[in-house]
Amino acid sequence: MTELRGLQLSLSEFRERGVAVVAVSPDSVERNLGVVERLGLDFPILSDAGLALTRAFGLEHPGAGPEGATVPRPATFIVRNGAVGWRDLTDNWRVRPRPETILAALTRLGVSAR
Amino acid sequence: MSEAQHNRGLWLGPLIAVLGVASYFTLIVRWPTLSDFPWLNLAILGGAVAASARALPRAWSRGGAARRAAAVAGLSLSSLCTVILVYYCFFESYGVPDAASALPTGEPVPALTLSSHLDEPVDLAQLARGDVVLVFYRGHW
Repeated sequence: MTELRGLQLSLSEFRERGVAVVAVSPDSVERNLGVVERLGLDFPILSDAGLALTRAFGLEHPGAGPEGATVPRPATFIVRNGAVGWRDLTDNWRVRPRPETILAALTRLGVSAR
Repeated sequence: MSEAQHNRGLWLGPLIAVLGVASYFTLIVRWPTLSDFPWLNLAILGGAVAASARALPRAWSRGGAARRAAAVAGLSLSSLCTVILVYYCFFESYGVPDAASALPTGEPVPALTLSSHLDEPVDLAQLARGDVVLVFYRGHW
């Protein structure tokens, strides 16, 4: 949740560069709506309850969810020109990339403020 | 100075230790600069263990059996709190699978449609025509 809060706080800096922020969770639409409302997010959370996108990205973490469910590992991607331009697959689920790290990666990819 | 004041470490040590570990999970996790590497909580727990350890010889030289037992229990509790935080931060949270299967840089993003929190369909292929930061997280259990 801290990660989503951090992205919300930096959202204007992503928008200045014309970059959309989109989160993906294995939770239901209703639960994602609850998170968006509680944290006051201005970006969407997509529901990947069937893990189709998680599998397509190769991010399955078996047994890490409630009652041994498979959930995605925490991961952050920059999608540019329809492909993965940058990614962060943390080896420690406590530690997520900070907004400034993602913004620096965008700069290196040539995505600057318009 | 009364005996109780003189050996404050007896109860203050474990109390600080419990706060030192509980505050990490309830409060500190909100600030990545403090939580990614838990230096503040480690410092608090280090102080708590030191206070508990100092209370031990004092309890032995001046206290009765009850005070000695309390000192041992206090040091055990302070140590346990430290072990919990160190285990969680430096061992348990590294339990992430190998990254080999993850979509590498340069690969096209799969074309799938998912539902947003407003139950509207979002087409990844259409989204990927622009620049996107896509964040997978483990869910809000």
